[in-house]
Amino acid sequence: MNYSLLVFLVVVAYGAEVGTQTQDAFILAHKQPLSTYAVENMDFVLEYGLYNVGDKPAHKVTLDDRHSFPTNSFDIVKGLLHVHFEQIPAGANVTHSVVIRPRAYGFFNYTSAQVTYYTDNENLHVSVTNTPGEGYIYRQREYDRRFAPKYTFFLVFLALITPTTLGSFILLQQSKSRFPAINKKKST
Amino acid sequence: MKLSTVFLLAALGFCAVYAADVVDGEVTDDAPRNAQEEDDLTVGASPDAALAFHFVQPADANILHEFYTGKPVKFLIGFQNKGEKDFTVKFSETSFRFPTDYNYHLQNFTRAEYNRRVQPKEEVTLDYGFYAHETFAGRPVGLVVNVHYQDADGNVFVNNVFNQTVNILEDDSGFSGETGFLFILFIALSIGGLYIANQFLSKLSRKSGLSKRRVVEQGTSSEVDFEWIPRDAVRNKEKRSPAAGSPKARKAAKKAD
Repeated sequence: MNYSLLVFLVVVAYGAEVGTQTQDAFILAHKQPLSTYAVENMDFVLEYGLYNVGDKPAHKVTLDDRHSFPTNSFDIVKGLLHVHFEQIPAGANVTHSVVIRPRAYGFFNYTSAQVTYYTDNENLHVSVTNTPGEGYIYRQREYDRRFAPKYTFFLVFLALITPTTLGSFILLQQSKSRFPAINKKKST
Repeated sequence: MKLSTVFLLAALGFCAVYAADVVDGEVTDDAPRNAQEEDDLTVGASPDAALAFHFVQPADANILHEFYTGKPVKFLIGFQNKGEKDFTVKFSETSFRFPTDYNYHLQNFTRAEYNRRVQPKEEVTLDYGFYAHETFAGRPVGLVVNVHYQDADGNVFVNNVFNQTVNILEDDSGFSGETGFLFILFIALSIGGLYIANQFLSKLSRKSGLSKRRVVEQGTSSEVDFEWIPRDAVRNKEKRSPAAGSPKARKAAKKAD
């Protein structure tokens, strides 16, 4: 009798575990660049999103992305690449963003960040985010050629058109001042 | 007898496929695909893998199951390796199905190749995104997301992570360039029409008004209107102008003096 009860309990427990597979905390970690273009010596914004899709809170969540952005090729302008969240409740999400500045141009492979968290029963989960993949870091000059405001071009253009436009305007004014009667007649 | 016919048919089929291969490349695409689809039906999920699915964009899609056309739909797939062997997540395939018959594919999206290895007790998040086309606006479609993965022994598994009907709504928020420019064009046309009407009306009225005193050009009158000529020009002329009359007349005048 006692034995069968135990078996029954085990079966029920197993069934419960199978039935709700995501009973524990389950964190989906997401990494994506918010800037359209990565340009050397210009700000580049990255966003990390942590979504707890499990049924229980995740504890001691750490997000570590220090290895993806080596400091010899990236400056960290704002934000931390290693953050710690004490708890992410079930169904909640956290977004974290970092501003970095690439020091050199060329192709760069954006790899994944690592997330660790503890579920209720104190077992460590190691999770890896998605990989944004290979991206090109533009040269500053290339970027300026495409997107920067071209003030110097406009200045040169103005200098070029000044003699023709302004000269003819001055001539017009001069000859107009010689005929004051026309102006008088028109006004009356 | 029966065996021989089977062999014959098989040989015929093989020949047909082979011939088709040589003639036309399209058939080669179909044959493996069919085979794979059949595989998909038989292959199931691994008990050592736990998968999760979550929409990131739009944020309320997890509850409402609604998308807007022309706006990105992004989702995450979580893969957890609970077993003792490595898994390799090969790819995920996303497709729109007919809501009443999920075997009917409305649209297959480009499959996302991941090829990520997941070590035991490790988790990986994968992402994918797509746009719903305008032609799906205002009707429900079945969204199916399958994840294909392998274990270390090369066994193929397929997990279905999302298999529900979603509503696709027309995006009527935001500024639509087409209608915006249409409005600008209409405004411009109406202003132009007003201007033309004004011109036409004023011309009509002026004609009727001017008809009383029409000025007829009669050549230059002898009186010079000095008001029109700049003063300096008049002065120059006064200085320089020689005596009136021809040189002969002038000589005659001198003699007479």
